[in-house]
Parts: sequence; structure tokens; C-alpha cells
Amino acid sequence: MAALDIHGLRKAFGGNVIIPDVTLALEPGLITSLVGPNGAGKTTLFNLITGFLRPDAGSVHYKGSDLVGLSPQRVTRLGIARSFQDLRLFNEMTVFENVLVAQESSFRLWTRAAACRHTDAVLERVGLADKRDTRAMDLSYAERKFLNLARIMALDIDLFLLDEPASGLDGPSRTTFHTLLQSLKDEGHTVLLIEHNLDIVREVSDRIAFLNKGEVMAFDTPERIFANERLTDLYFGTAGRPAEAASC
Amino acid sequence: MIVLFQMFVEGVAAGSLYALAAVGFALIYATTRTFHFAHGATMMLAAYAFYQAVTVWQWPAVFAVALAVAVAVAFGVGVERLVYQPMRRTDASFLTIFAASFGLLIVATNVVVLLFGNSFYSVDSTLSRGFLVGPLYLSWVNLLSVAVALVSITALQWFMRRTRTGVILRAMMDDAALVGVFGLGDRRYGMIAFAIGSALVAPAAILTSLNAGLQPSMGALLTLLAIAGAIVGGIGNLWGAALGGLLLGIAENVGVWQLSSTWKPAITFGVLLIFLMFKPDGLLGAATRRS
Amino acid sequence: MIAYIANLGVLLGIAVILASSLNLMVGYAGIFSVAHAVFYGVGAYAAAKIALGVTDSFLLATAVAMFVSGAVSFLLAVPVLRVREEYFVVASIGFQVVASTIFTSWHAVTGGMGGLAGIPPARVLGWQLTSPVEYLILTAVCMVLVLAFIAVLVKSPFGRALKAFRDDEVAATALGKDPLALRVAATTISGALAAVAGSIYAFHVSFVNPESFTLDYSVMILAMVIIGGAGSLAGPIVGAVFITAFPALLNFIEMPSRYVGPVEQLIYGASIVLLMVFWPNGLASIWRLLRPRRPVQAAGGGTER
Repeated sequence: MAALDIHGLRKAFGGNVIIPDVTLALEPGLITSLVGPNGAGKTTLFNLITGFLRPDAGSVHYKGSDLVGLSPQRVTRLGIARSFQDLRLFNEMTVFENVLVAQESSFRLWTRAAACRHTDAVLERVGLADKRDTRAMDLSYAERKFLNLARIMALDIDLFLLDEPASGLDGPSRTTFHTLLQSLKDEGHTVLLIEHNLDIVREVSDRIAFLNKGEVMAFDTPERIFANERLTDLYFGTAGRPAEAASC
Repeated sequence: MIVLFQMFVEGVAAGSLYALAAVGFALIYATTRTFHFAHGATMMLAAYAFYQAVTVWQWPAVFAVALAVAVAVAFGVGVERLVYQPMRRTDASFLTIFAASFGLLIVATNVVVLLFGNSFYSVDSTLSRGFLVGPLYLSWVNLLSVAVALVSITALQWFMRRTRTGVILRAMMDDAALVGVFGLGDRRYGMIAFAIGSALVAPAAILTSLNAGLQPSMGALLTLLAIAGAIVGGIGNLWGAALGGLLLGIAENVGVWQLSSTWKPAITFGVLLIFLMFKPDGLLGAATRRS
Repeated sequence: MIAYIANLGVLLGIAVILASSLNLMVGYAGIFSVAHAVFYGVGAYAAAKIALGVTDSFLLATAVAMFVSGAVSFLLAVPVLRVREEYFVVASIGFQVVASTIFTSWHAVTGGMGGLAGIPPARVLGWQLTSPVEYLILTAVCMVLVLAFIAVLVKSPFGRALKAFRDDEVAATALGKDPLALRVAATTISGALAAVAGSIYAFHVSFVNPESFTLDYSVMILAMVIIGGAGSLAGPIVGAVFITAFPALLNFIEMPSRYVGPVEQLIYGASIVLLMVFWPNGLASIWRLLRPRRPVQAAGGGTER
């Protein structure tokens, strides 16, 4: 059974059809990269899966139930979490609080010791343990990106939707990121990744879904995708800049 | 039955004035994203300026009207320039801007209390006299309210569709960031939006002072009605706001058929609450519900 | 003299409870309400009803008052917060106006303009309160309890979730937090805490009527929160002290008595405008200057999307 089964998904804004018809099935336990030129609808697809946008047609099946129509918070509680391209950290809160708030139940008067231990463990994993009490707004860019990841790693999640988690990272941070992604996979998590840097895509992906103009042009192993000249042409021909304009 | 019809007529007249206030609020909110809570203060200041000119200084009506409009525009534009724009530049949150606006309403109200006292004033005019049409009692003020509202709102509609400035304001309503595309700062257009929105309450101020008289609390009350009208009409839609204002005026007047008139605000609130519960997008509005 | 100071102390304590409870909504949940005097009033009337008809036990009357006021606040919050928090401002003013009408018009329950008189002195665990000083002690104890509760609340997972929403609503939702449930809970708790102040007031003056719970007073409570600084524990306390003590200062300036009220309000209004433009964190944040730390930019909410 697929970890996530997207079928016939469609979304238009006004008369503008952003996603005409997306069908895609993610295999459990694998890292799938979503690539494609700017404006291909990648972030929109994330928004449709996670309930921030409501599709005009189609279904998104996860563990036997349709996610369409559920609120973002319900989707998260079912076990799907996303990161944001523009990070959206809780800037006034400390690194520790950013992660702690993610995993604890809101309607509780006392902070549980177990939650604190779990938070510290997650911070240790992403390498932010020494920044525990720094406010999020005072972190460096790379640290902010890892905090963004840590926040959703603290949740009880099966499926990670990561929106450009590695963009702008330097060499050493990228290695850390790679290790982190691998460890998520080793734990049996499924990952859907939006990434523009094809080196990273080649390194980490088990599958690549090539999205263009809101349709999946190809879905295959990295070797096969990179061997397909038509796709590489399409990618490098239309993509002027590697950074996608915020389309969410 | 005649009584009910009479109340309906009065409701349409009152509602026309609320419509002007609601359109002004909606224009300002939609273009500048400023929750201009002091909108009612604009109306109150214009009303007192008109009163001062007509009854104390004994100016001819035309000049008094001009003064009222000038005061309204000056207050609106001044507040935009001196308070809202500096705050927007520092990326102040919605709540911070709202709090400042709320403070402005308090300041304006109490300046008026200090200058004129808390008591009730009225402006005598032949316009407030009434006449009978069949069984119905009409007054010139009521007829004038409807006429002025119709003319102003039609003129605004023309302005928004046919002039370059109007088109830019409409673009701002869709997306404030778009204004940069025109190569123009939003500062000038923010002030234009405030000028028009504020000018629209001047007729409401004058006609209210002729019809119902003046009291410092009129500002806060009109703010409530203008915002409620804009919400009922559908925030972000000017014509919806006009319709919302009209509807509130009618509901308020017809609604007190069997009740004491102290319940008028309760009816406004009731209508607002019903809309928030069952039709939160308003009559003509775009989706406002949280995703 | 002692009685005068004790009475002033009771009023200050009441103001601190009201401002701090409103701050839960304004400063932490990002909801502006101009109806806090309603919850104060509902609490006062409920406590008065219990005291007059059932028992003079302060604890019981306060518990009932908190329940009733919390319920009223819940019933207002659910329909309005479902839409957009901006609308709450307008709905709350409307609600305040309607509530004032009900306080004056529903004779059978509220006693109309005349109000409810002859409320017996409070009894707390068998101790009968008579002197102003005893009421001051009761108020101080209640105030400390309310403040302690709020302090625990804002540091709890619940408070953290509210702050997360304040910082970034979209991200908080994406982490599985339910904005409606959190905001409704904050509003309900805020209403219930305001009722504590209402209950103290009812027993203290042994008389309630609609004049104490007007729109003007709601405006005043909101001014305390904004002037002191929303979103911090100290802010509303500073604001409540400032606004309660201020009229006493104005006494030193010679002016006709009819000017006193408007001048006071004018100064509150102008303080709000100036603070929001130049110092959006409020008076209480001034002490932060003394600490070697980066100043917090434009707090007061940060819910702008």
C-alpha cells in the first residue's frame, strides 16, 4: 500500500489552473523528490495535501482515509507534517520552546518532563543543543533551517513533506542535512522533498517525481530520470533561477 | 401596517447614511489594510464643525458644508499621514494599529467633550420639517439622505472604474503589494483612499446633525455601524458595504417596532452576529473564513 | 484615612485582576475585546444574586460567578472567533452595548437602573468581613491567586501554544494546533477570571447597578492593558496602577470638575496613540532598556499575515 495516494488532484485560482491533474503514489519508507521548473505547482501541491488549500477535484488517500476537506491541524495529527520554504519559526520563542510547543498537547497546565527530554534529544540530533535557550530570531540562517526541521521531527510523524529544506546551506551543513534525512529514512519514515539543487536530489532520492505545469511528467528512479534528456532540457530550459517564487 | 411602512422609510433614510460610512470604512480597510476604528470620529468632528459654522458663526449653509467636508478629509488624511503610515513602515501588527486607532477615537471624542460638553445639540433647519404623502410622513432630510447616498456611491463607482487613480485603488484592494508594480509608493494612494473614505462620512455627519442632533457618543456608534455594515456586506467589497449599511438601517428601525428604541444597537449587533454565524463572508464578500 | 486607602487598594486590586485577565486575550491570544466590563458585571450580578438569595459565602458566590461569566464569554467566543479575530472587536462592542441594555432593562433579574442593593458582607471560611482593611486583605489574596494562575498558565503548554499562534499562525496550525479551540479557551478563562473581580466588587460595595459596567469602563480596562503593555505579566499591572492612580494626580491641577473626566480620557487616548506609534510594547517594557538585550521589535501581537 502506498504511503500517500494522490489521485486526480486539481486546483485553479480564478480561471488560472495551477494543478490540472496530479496523480502520484508515494512508496512507504522512501525519499521522493519533487522537482520541476518554477511555477510547476510544487508548493501548491503541498498546500493541497496538508489542508491549507482545498482541491477542486481529486483525492489524497492516507492510511485508508481521504484527507480532502480536513483542516491542516487534523492532517498533522494524522501523521503528516510539512516544513515551510520561508521557515515560519516562532521568532520570539527560544529554540527549546519552538520544538517543545510542537510536540506537547495544548491543553495542559504542566510541562511534562518526558516532553523536555524528547525535545532535548531532537535538538541534539539536529545539532542545536548548544543553542537551546537562544531566541529563534537570533539564530544564523543554517540554524534556522535545522530548527524548522527539528520542530516537525518532534511530532509523531510518518510522512514528512519538506519544502526546500536544504536551499542556501553550505557544504558542512548540507552533509549534516543529508545524514539527518538518511536517519529519518532508516527509521522507516517516508519523505517527500521539494528541492532545486539537482546534486542534492541525486544524492538523497530513491524516487523522483518530475512536475511541470501542474502535471507529473515522470515518476521514476533518479538514474532513469537523469538519463531522460527531454526532462533535463525542460528543467534547465525553463528554469531561469533555482529559487522558486513563493507560490503558496 | 402603516406604522411598519413608516419605519421602513425611516430605516432606508438612516441606512443610506450608514451605507456611506460603511463604504468609506470598506474603502480604507480594503486598500490600506487599516482597521480604521476612528472612522466614526471623522464623522463626529465633521458634524460638530458643521454645527459650529451654522449655528454659532451663522455661516451660509454652503460654506458650512464645505467646512464639514474639509474637516473630515483633513482628519482622515492627517491621521493616515501622521499615525498609520509611520506604523506601517515599522511593520506594526494589526493589533497595534487597531489600538492606535482606538486611542484616536478616544482622543477625538474627548476633545469634542471639552469643547462642546457632553450635552445634546441640534441644528434647526427647514429641511428637518416634514410633510405628508398619503398616510406617510416624510421629511426633506430623509429624502436628501437617500439622494446624497445614491449620488455619492454612484460617483464613487464611476471613479473606481473610469479613472487611473480608481483603477490603482482597486488594484490595492486586490493586493497592496501590486502598487509597487505601478511604480508608485502606496503613501500617496493611502492618503487618497483616506481622503475619499473620510469625505464620504461628511454628508452623513451633516444630515445626522439635522435629523437626530449631535452628541459626542455619535462617533463610537457610527464606527460600530460602519464596520458592522462592511462586515454584513462582505469585507473587501464596496458595494456590499453599501448594501450592508442600508440593511442595518432598515433592520434597526423596523426592528424596534415593538421595542423601545434603546434596543437599536442590540438589533445591529443581532444582525451582525447572525451574519457571523451563518454567512461570515457577508452578502457579497470574498471568502474570509480561516482556511 | 485608613479606610480611604483600603478602599483605593480594593479598587486597584480589582483593576489589576481585570486588566491581567483581559491581557490573556489581548496579549496572548491576539483577540481585542471591548467587552471586559460585561464579564466583570455578569460576575458581580451573579455573585450578588447568590449572596442575596442563597448564601453569603464568598467562595461559593465567586465560583458561581466565574462559571456564569465563563459560560457567557464562551457563548460569545464560539460564533465570533470561528470567523476572524478582527471581527471580535466589533462584535465585542456590540455585545457590550447589548449587555448594558440588558443590565438596565431586565428588571426581574438585575433590578434595572436601581440595581441590586443590600448584599450581605462576605463570609470566607467562617470569617465575616466587615472593615475595609479586611476587604483589602481578601482582594490582595484573590489578586495574588489570579496573577499566580495567569503566570502558570502563560508558562504552561497552553500559554506556549498561544504564543506560537501569536508568532506565526500558519506554522502553529501546521504543527497540529487548533486555533479556534485555543482562542475560545483563552476567552472563556479570561471571562471567568474577570468574574472574580466582579464578586469582590459586589460584596465590597454591597450594591451593584449597571453604571459600573459600561462601555466606558471596558475602554478603560483595555487602555490599562495597552498602556501598560500587552503580552507581559507586568504590563497590565503597571497599566492598572497608572490608570487608577492617575485621577489622584490630576487632583493637584486646578480645573473645573466637569473637565476632569474628559481630560483623563484624553490623556489615556493620547498615551495609547503615542505608545503604539513610538513604543508598541507599552510602559512596562521600559525596564527592559536596562537589560543588555536586543530590544523586542513591535510586539503587541505580531499576528499580521
